Parts: sequence; C-alpha cells; structure tokens
Amino acid sequence: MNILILTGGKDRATNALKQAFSHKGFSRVDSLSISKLNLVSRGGKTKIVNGGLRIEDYDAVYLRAGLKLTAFVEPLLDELKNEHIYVQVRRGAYYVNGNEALQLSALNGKGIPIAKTVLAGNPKLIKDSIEKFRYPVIMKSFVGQKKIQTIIIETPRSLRSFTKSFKMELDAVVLREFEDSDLVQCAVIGGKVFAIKRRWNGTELERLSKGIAYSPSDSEKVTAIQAARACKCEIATVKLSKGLVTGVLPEINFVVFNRKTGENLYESVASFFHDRASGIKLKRPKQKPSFFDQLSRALEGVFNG
Amino acid sequence: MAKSSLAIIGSKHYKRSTVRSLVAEAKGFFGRVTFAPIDKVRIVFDGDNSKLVYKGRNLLKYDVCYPRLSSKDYVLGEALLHLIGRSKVYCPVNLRAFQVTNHKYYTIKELSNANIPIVKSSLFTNPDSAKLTLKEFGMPFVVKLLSGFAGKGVILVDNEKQLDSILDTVSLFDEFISVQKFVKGKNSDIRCYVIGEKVIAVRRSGKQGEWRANVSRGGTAEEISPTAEMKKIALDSARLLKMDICAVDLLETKEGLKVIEVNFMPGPFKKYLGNRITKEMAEFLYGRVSEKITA
Repeated sequence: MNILILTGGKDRATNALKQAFSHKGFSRVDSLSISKLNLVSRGGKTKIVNGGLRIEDYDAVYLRAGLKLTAFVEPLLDELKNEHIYVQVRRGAYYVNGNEALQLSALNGKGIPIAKTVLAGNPKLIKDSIEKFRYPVIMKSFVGQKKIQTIIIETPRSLRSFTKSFKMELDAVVLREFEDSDLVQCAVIGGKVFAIKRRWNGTELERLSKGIAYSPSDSEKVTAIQAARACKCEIATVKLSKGLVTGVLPEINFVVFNRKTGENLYESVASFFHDRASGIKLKRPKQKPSFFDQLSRALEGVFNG
Repeated sequence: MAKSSLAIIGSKHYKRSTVRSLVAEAKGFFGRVTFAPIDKVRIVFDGDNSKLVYKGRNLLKYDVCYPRLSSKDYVLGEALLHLIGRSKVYCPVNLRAFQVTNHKYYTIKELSNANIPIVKSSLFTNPDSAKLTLKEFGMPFVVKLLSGFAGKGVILVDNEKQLDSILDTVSLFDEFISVQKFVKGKNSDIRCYVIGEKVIAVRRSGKQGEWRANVSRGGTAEEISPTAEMKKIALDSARLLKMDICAVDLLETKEGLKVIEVNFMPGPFKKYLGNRITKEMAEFLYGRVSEKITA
C-alpha cells in the first residue's frame, strides 16, 4: 500500500510519520507540500497536478494542512474521494471546522453536548438571552470570516453594558456559557483517545505543553470520538470541559501528545491508516493500465524473451 | 392557504429593491411573509429544539424559508443553512450549494466532473506553480478571486508581463488563484434563472469597451427564449447542486454553451425585467407549500 502525506508546510512530525508508515508495512511513503499541487478541470474531468505525481498511485492520503488552506483543500478532498483514496477527513471537514458557528451547529445537530450557545448577527440581539445564561460567558465577535475579539464576561450587568457600548459593525457574534474549569484535550485516532489535562489557574488555562497526561473516562472517550465524527474527522483534537465539547480541530500536536502521554501517536496513526486503507483498497476499482504502461510491459516482454 | 408562511432571510448586503419586489410578489400568494435581514437573526442551539429567531418568531416553524445570502454572510450564513437543513422547513437552497457556489473554481470543478460543459479552469495555491501551468493555458485568460462577485475581483490577463505582477498581488492578499480560459465572445453572456423546473433565459450585454457582461457594471439585460441546450445545462447544473432556485451563467463559444458560474443569490434585474423573476420565485415557493399540503 502507498501513502502520501500532504503538509501545509515544514513540520517536525512529517519524518517521524514517514518512518512509522514504513515500519507498519506501507511500501511507498511520500510527503509533499500542498502548495505544490494544482487542480485543473476541463472536458468532463479534474486532474490533481504536480509535475510527475500520479495521485492514483496512492491508496491513502494523510492530510495535514491548516484551516487557512480550506479553499484549496475542500475541492481537493472531493477529488481524492472521486479517486477512491482514503483520507482521514471527509469532504466538508475543513468548512465545518473552519467556522465556529457551523461547527457548533454540526455538533448540536448530532446530539453532542455543547455549552448553551446563541449566535447572532450583532451584539444587541443577545439582550433577550442575557438573563438565561449561567455566568461567566465567553463572547466571540467576527467581521467576515475573521475573529476579531474574544472576551470572558462575568455578570449579566457587564454583558448588558458591553452590548450597549459596542460600536463596531460585526457580521456575527457567538455567545456561550464558559466553564472556568480544567480542560481535557483529546487526540482522537479512529477509536482511540489520548488525553492531556490543562489546568485552570483561576484566570486562564495553562498551555497544552504545561498540561499533564490524563486518562479519560469512557463517557469522555465516546464524546470525543463522536464529536470528531460529527465534524467529519477520524483523526482530530477534541477539547472537553466538564463533559461538554468546546472545540474540534482536524489535526493533532504529535510532539506534545507523545511527550506528555508517553505513547507513540505516530504508530497509532500508521496502524489506523493501515486498517482503513486496506479496506478502501479492496473496494477500489482496478485502474486500467495506460497505453504507455501496456507498451512498456510489452517491450519488457520482448527484451526478456 | 391563507395561513401559509414564507420567511426570506436577506444578506447583510441585500438590495432593498430586490427584497421589496420579492416580498410584494410573495404577499400575493402567502398568508404571511417575513423578511429577516441576517444581522437581525439569532440562532439558539438546543438539540432538536434549536431555533432561528427573528423578532421573537421561530423562522423554522414557517412553511418556507428562503435564505438569500452572499459570501460575506459566511459565519452566520453557514450555521443558519445547516440548521435549516436539519429542520422540516422547505428551503430551495442548501449549505453545500452555498459553499460550492461561493467558490468560483469549486463550482466549475463539480460541473465538469458531471460532464456539464465548462470553460477550462484551474486552482493554484501559489504563484510559482500557477506560472508553470498557465503556459499550457495560453493567453488570454481571466484570473478570478475566489471571493469575488458581481463582476468584481476578475482580471483579464493578455500578456506575460501582466501575469507576474497580477499573481504576486493576488497572493499578497492570501487569496488562492483561480484561472479561467478567456473565451472571446460577443461581449455578452446568458443568464439562465432556474426556478423549479422552469428556465428563464436573459442575455446580458456589457457596456461599450467593457469585457464583463455584468448588469451591475453598467451592462444591459433582455429576456430571450431559452434553447433546449440552455435548458438542459441550466437544469443539470441546478440539480447537481440540489438547488431549486439559482442562476446559471453561460458563455456562447465555438464549441457550444459553457457554464462560467452558478449564482446562489441571483438578482432579478428589475430595471430590465420588472417583477418577472421575483413573481416566478414567489409562485414556485408557494407551489411547494401547496404540494406539501395536498400530499
């Protein structure tokens, strides 16, 4: 089986992942920056172009590109699906995880527990909800796709005066009950969950690199796996606070998770891909050999007598 | 049917004349018509009891909800379309169509893969790879910003000198580069409004000296009789994207008609077509409610 790791740029994990994939038995393991790819559509088909790259040679692609590449990744995911190549994120994953409002709707729609949330076109519209929230709340404001402010508000009175005083024209506001407690950050790899606990020090959460290894409960595991799937990912980071999902990212910080948990997540990912890609390979329609493949085989036969 | 209700959710950047016309026509059919600008709408998440609230009313309880949104309404727009998609309210558009039609290359790719004729197009992540591949395209071609609309964000490139500086400028704004082969035509294109099974064709002509045919850029529009080819391409495109209301823009080329883009929120060209388009939209939406009630 062959796998291609598509990266968003230079990344410390790529070499370790390549080794893990080779160790797991993948016969060909390549990596490529996504910026080297183009998509060209004409005459009833689309081609993924990069010099001599033949995407159909791969059984799986491990996509490790950041969300800022969404506009390229989404049509690319579509093409990989058309080629029957396994990818750990499904079509739409970058759209869902690149828009917090859509992600909340996707989680809520699948019955995943999230904190009480209201979305609005401007801060003044949330005045009806002010008394219905448990405080503190977190308010995020957006202009276009850009998050311009995140603020934690402690009381209804502060929220009321904040919404009244807000002068800037916004496109969206997300208001959510905020759990001022420890956060469990989970790395989900298929059905496996690895976790780090980030402690709340009274004013802020400690950084992931300062967190401690944590053994998640069965219910936390189930929630994390379901949240990743609701956001169209089989490999993802899921943040949990008091059992509620507060965010999903379609990537994992391998370096920190390996160091903190003492596990080898590179190997876990390689095993997971091996299982998934094997399943896909069996279902994949056999590629018809090209004219040149047939010609070279014929010539080989002639020369070998 | 006096009790049937329609909610039109408008883009923050809606045109008042379009809304007024659509609301006025809809009032002739629906018992209640509510226009809700997206910046006045609230979404309350509560599992299956989630609400889309405007002035205290839950718009998900209406018979029909028609969001007319642009790429600028992205954050709230996607969540709202997702919520509507989960509900029972009839909606002539959907989340995926919003995402695809707001991405100029993605639309063309989807159509091309379904064998709908398109103008050769490409998507690049960086200028260097674009320069290499574009040699194969041959001049001239059109560089399009993915987020452009109404004829804005499209640049005609007809010589290699222009290419470098345009590509560098586009990448400076963190934009991906979508390129479409420029097809010399009659300084006009054809917009096919798809409203249910009906196709209304309009020829758009650019003003003197303008290669873009957009009416918003000073062009003109006149209704024409749609050919069988126009109808087929327009309906196939709309069905592929699962949209009951949209507009498919076509270019006449030597090889036949080709799609250049699909519009999620087509304007009705009121100046040239009066209330022709808005009336058809209102009648179609009402028809869907009648069907539901009869069923």
